[in-house]
Amino acid sequence: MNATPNSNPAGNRTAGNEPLHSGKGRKSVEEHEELLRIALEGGDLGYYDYYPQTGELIWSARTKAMFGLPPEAEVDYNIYVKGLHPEDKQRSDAAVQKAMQPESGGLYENEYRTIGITDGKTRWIRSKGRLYFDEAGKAIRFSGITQDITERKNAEERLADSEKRYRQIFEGTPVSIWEKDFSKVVIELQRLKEKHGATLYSYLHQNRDEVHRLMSLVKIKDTNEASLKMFDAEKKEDLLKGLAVLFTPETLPVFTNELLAIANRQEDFESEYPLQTLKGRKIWCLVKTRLPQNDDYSRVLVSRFDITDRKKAEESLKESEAFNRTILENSPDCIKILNAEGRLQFINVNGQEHLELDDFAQVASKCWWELWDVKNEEKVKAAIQKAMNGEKAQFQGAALTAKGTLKWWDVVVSPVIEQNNSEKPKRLIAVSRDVTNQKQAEESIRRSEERFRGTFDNVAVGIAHVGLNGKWLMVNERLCQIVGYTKKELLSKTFQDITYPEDLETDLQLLQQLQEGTIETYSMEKRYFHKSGSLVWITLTVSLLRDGSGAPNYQIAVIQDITLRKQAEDALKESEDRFRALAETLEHVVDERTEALQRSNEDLQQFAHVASHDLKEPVRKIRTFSDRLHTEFEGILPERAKLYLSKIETSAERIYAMINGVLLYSSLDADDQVFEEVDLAKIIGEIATDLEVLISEKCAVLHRKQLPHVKGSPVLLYQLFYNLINNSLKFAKPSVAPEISIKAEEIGNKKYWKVIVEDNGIGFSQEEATHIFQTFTRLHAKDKYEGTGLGLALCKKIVERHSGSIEAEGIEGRGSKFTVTLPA
Amino acid sequence: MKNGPILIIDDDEDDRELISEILESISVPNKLLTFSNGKEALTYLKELEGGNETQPFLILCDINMPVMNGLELRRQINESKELIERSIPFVYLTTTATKANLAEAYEMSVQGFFEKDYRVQNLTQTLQRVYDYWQHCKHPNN
Repeated sequence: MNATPNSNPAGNRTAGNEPLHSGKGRKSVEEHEELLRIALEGGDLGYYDYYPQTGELIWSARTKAMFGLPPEAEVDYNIYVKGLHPEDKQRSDAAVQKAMQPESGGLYENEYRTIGITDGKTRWIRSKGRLYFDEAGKAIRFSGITQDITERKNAEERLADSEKRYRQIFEGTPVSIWEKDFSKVVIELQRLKEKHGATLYSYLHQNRDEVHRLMSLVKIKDTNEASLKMFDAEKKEDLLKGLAVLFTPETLPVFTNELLAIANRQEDFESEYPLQTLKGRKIWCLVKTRLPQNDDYSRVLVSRFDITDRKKAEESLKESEAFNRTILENSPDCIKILNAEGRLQFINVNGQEHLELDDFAQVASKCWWELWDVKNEEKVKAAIQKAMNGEKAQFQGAALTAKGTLKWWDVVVSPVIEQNNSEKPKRLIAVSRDVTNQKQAEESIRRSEERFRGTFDNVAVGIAHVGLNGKWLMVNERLCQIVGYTKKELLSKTFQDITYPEDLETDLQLLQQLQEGTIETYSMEKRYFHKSGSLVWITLTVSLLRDGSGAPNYQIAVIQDITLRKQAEDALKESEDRFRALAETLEHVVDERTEALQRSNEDLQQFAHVASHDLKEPVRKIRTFSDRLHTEFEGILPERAKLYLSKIETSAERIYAMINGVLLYSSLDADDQVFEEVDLAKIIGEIATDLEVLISEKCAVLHRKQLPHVKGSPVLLYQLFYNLINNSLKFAKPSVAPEISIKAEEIGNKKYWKVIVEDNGIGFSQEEATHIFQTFTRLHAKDKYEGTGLGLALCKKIVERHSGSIEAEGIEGRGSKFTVTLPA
Repeated sequence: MKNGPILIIDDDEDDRELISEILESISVPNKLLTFSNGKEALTYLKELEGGNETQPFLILCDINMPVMNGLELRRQINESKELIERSIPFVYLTTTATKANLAEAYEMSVQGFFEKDYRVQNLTQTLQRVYDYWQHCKHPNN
């Protein structure tokens, strides 16, 4: 078919006029067709009418345009086939052939592309038509409408393309992407929000079960390959089961915030939370969610990035920062950060204490050298300069602290190497160590060294440091004088060289003990050889100096010249020997004499005892027989015989009394009396009772006053005061009634008692008082006053036995006073 | 036994005679036996052990005596079971009563300790009392 010009609709009409219907009224058909044409043109549709048996083809202008043909072009079936897109030719032909079969019901529908015959444009055409058959079942007419659907098709294609690209991105991206359906959660959240309002936040954070429930409402629709890798999954299905498989307890709080973001209709949010993979490996994820702005929550995209490495790096960075800070703050040194200008930016806490700063603000941004003494300014600046050049600078200097304490510092300044490794450092770090104590120690060592030097050289004794091998290491002037060598000569020798051989062994042994630590020091007297060859006597005192580990270092020897002393000693020793011999002889003689005396004393005592005993018997017998003479021959004896007899009796009685006295006196030495507490008042009472007869005979008065208790023998004390009182009665004035007073005085703070026995008797002279206590002393004629001459001697002995004393005072004719002092 | 002999033990012959005289003067009927020291008396007492002789009534004994003194005699008597059973009253009659002697005597539980008074009258009185006392005294061997 060749295209024929058909510029007006009449042509079309003509074309459509002829074979539209057979057997029916032509007019009504024509009318009908006209209406249809109008409708079609108005509806953007074209039409066609084809008569297979005649090959006649009628296209409306629109249909022609769809094939890139002008309205006047002549068309036939070949034109149709020519216009078809090669890819669609076969399909379209098959569709037409199929529709031509009566079994098909005659309905035809197809979409195909054309390539504009004149313009070459590709168009998408939609064709819908119907076939009419004759009785024989042969297709006689095929008519229908066409529609240019290029735009729709293109749109569809673009959409398919975009979907494809999306899928490609979705699957191909290394980011884990998830499609989640939040719609149920959103509804539930809406409900909860209405219920809890502003408290929703705390409600969700406090109700884990609720969060769990909401979590289970989230449906995971899809995820991508990257997720499989990230979460150790083998197939997608395992990841689509729900959120729970990836969540850990730590995930929940972050997820809760996510829920709240949804509830608050936030556009998007980002959070980091820990998750676990299907193999239980913990990973940190950065989650980015973009929420829809319409109400469709059925396809929310969530992307997850594995930030585990970053998190770990952050952790270790935090740790290392904390570590650095800890080092900085715990350093005992003063650590300062300076900027490039040398201004202070930071001082650690210990450093602030060192500088006695109350607050860093006091010095913040000050230039560092302002903290130093003016003298040090250049030094500090130079150090900063050096450090700025990338080198380490070091210096020492003194500065006053904020509170005016002078401190010495040992400073190291270094540049802070920045990560970006820029050429010039931006910051410097200055580490200052407080070395004040060290400085002071050095100073005091220096002074002590000076003092030591002064002492060492000027002292009057020899001093030396001696090596462990005996070599002189250091000698002073005095030592050189003692041994006659110069310093130089001496320092080339050992002490062994100049020691007298006989004294060397002892010295070496002591030195051995010193080095072993069994003794701390030793002294000895020994001899050196003087340079001249003579011997010098010295005393040597050695101590050992040990090093820090306790190992012997060297010896310190102090040497004193004692030659003169030795000579004097020798002389002294000789004289001493002589003296000792003399003294020994003397001592021997004394010992012998003492022994003899002791023997004689014992003999005497023995004699006194035996004599008095044995003497008593004959005396008693004299008395017995005198008595018998007296009593039995009273009437017979002449007066003179009686007189003689009475003289014999008196004498015998006196002998008897004296013997008794001697016996008592001697027994005082022999007997050991037991000392006890004695009530003197009681003793005196007993004496008064025993002397009752005599007292009343003489009309005597006995005064007693506050008598104490003393330590002593009651028997002896009785004897003592008996004798004294008896004496007072005995030596009373013939015409005066005796008055005897006994009183006591405390002396020496109750340590002693003075007991005074005083009378108004005949008394005695002071001269007599001195020997009144000697044995057998009698002051008076025995015919006037009876007495053995032993009474007061006995008294003295008794008092002495009591570690006391007795004194006599008397005025002749006025009375006597005896003072007995006894320990309390 | 109350008429048994009285033993007078004293180294001094005068004293033995004096004591005997005094006892006779107060008409003591008992036989008086004198010994010049402890040993002689002990020998006599040991011979009594056979039992044929009459039990002595009283022993008057001095302390200071040669050969065996009065204290030793008493000690020997105390060591003889038979003599202890005889329980002869033992009385010391001595010139000097020293403390030591007194203590020792009473430790050996003697029945009396007296000093010889030079006055005959006093001594007589003492002996009279001792005699009377023991005459009246109940005795296990009576």
